[in-house]
Amino acid sequence: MIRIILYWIDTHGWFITAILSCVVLANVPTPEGLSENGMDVIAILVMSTIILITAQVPLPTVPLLIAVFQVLLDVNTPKGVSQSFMSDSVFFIMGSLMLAVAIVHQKLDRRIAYWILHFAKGSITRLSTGFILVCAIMASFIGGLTVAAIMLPVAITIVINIDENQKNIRNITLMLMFSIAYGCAIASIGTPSGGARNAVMIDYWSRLYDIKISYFEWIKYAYPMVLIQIPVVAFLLRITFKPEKINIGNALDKLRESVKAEGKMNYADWLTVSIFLFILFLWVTSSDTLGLGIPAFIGVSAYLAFGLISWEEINRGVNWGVVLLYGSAISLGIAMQNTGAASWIANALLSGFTSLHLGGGLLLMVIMAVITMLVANIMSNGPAVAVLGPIFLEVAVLSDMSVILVGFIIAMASSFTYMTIIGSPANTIVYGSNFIKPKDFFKAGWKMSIASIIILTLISATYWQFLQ
Amino acid sequence: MKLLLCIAGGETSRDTIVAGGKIAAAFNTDLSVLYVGEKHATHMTSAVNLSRMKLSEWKIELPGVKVLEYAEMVLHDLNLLEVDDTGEIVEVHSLKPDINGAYELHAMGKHGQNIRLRLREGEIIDEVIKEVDVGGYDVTIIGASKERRLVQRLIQFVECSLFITKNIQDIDYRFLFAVDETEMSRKALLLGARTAHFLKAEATLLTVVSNDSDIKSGEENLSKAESILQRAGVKYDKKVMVGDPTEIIIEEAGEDHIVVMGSSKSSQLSKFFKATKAVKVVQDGNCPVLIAK
Repeated sequence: MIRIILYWIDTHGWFITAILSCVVLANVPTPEGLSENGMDVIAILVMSTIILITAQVPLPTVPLLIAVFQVLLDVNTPKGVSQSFMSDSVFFIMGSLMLAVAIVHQKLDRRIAYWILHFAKGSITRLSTGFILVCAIMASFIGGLTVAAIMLPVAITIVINIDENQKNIRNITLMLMFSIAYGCAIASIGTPSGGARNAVMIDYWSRLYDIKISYFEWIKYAYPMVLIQIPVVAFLLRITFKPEKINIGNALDKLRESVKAEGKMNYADWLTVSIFLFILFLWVTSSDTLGLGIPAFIGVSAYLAFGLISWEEINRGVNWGVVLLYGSAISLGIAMQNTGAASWIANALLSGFTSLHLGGGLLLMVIMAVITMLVANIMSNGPAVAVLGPIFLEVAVLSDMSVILVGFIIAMASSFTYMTIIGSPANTIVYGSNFIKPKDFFKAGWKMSIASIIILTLISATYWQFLQ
Repeated sequence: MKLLLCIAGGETSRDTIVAGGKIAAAFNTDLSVLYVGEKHATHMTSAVNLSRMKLSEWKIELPGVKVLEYAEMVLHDLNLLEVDDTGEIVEVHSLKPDINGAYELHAMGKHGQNIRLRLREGEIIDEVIKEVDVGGYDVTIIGASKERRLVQRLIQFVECSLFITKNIQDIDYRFLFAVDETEMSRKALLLGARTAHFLKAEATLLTVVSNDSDIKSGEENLSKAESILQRAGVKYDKKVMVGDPTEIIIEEAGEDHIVVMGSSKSSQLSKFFKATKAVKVVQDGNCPVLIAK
């Protein structure tokens, strides 16, 4: 018995630390200017962050504990907590995850592979660009997770066809793998459906500041950033992973013929695409009235009704813990706002920035972008927005900056997850192929990070000013 | 007897697979080869699963499967696996998911033994502990970690005897039995003597006492140990030495001995906070160590 207890303690040290931190913080004297409940919420935030980063217990434990401690520490009532967990954005995240599974289950990857191989014309640079283009355009609408899952086997098949021995074509392999990972990363901010964290930001704007941003308005702000970054990714990958000088034309032609032999798009493929285009149409034209979640639900219902996917397959493919996590993130964000915790932390940050002569304006935006980027690389993009969103939005209010612009800065910078495996689902999927090592993420990652921060700064200083 | 052989990769683990295969062949025992793939963050599980579903549609194998295929090839080369008339390996079942928490390929050995190739994912020590819990193994063969804390966790929490293959070389090893008066030491002698007998290795019986006045009791420990080695038919010499047991065992073992010792009799709590002799020998020594439990 003692062995089991000691083993549990040994493997759950950080989890115990997280719970103890929460209990201690909730019981220490409250600092000046912060309410007692505000301190409780900060205690929950600290606990959640430690558990998320150290990952010693399954992920859904975090949202469950966020709900439990809000009630135990008297921050909210059970009814209030459950209501704060659910919103149109959470519906949207749930619907998007189900749509992702439905789309992955179709055979569209063969058609996409054919198009990329046709576009490549035997050139490795064109091949890489083809991957980036396809990943970026698709991921901006259906999310990086789906696209990376669809595109990875295509890339691996191409690599194996070029040369079975990976050591001979290491750079070509890395170039293609990162074309997928980074293509998905830069695209995930293109539309609200590109990433669940975008929906979280829309929810923060709506519930904390009563600002409504439609699907189309989001595209207006964010899509130029996607388009500008496509050639940047292609260029940086080309100069970082100088591809081996070998003839890949024959391998690609052979593969193209074998993919072509599988036939043209069938009824199910066309139906899959048509249903998704219809959902997209509803998002763009009717998100004011239907919200974002309902169109997603219409799409999932259609996929189920037409037999394109079974409920069992959806159930197996969707990580419901992720839905809970985003629900809890929004709930915690609201609690931070209501108790004044977000405002207190924002004030402390702002006075820190001011004392370093960094307060206000563009420089402050850049600092928030860099912090978001670093946190996203450490704890992945979604949780980064969830944790930093309410604080930085409050910084915007206190320093007379636009809450919308700062919101976009946070959402976009959270997609600059170029340096770690855990940064985004696409990175994790590509790394799972075993073709790349953790240190490979740094090779092009640091260059991409700098380039993206510069592009974001320029866009926020110019293009976004016209939109305001 | 059931053996668990933990490997860290494909070609890099060739020596470990060969050593484990030889021991399994000598004992004519069931053997499981375990490869632990990297752990995925829990919130990425569905992403990884979706990706794997697509990979299987394109007939691309899971990353860890190649490692198992390599291990199967090495065991085949050692003539450990049963083959049919066409030269194909006889499999009870091909690679299947969710067999006691792992992907598993189950083959038959030459003498009817079960040879299992298993793939788990997670933290290595945690997965080995889970594997031992579900598999009921008698001995786990595993490489040594550079981190003391991991070695300590392995020795304390894995509930079967351990053969830690540190600095394994293709040489004729001698066995160094570190003997004391405990029951665990006797168990180590029994296990080690059988192993030495099958591997046709010679041995040294060593007992270390803290001062000269204890030499006599040390010699009594040795005489009990001698009878076990004699019954197993293992040639041996014997030594009683005075000093720090850990330092002397490490010095005597050098690189050409397999140290055989019992796990510590200390309480679980004490082992949790303080490194035992076995941990120190594994950590500071430079040879394989067999720890009986």
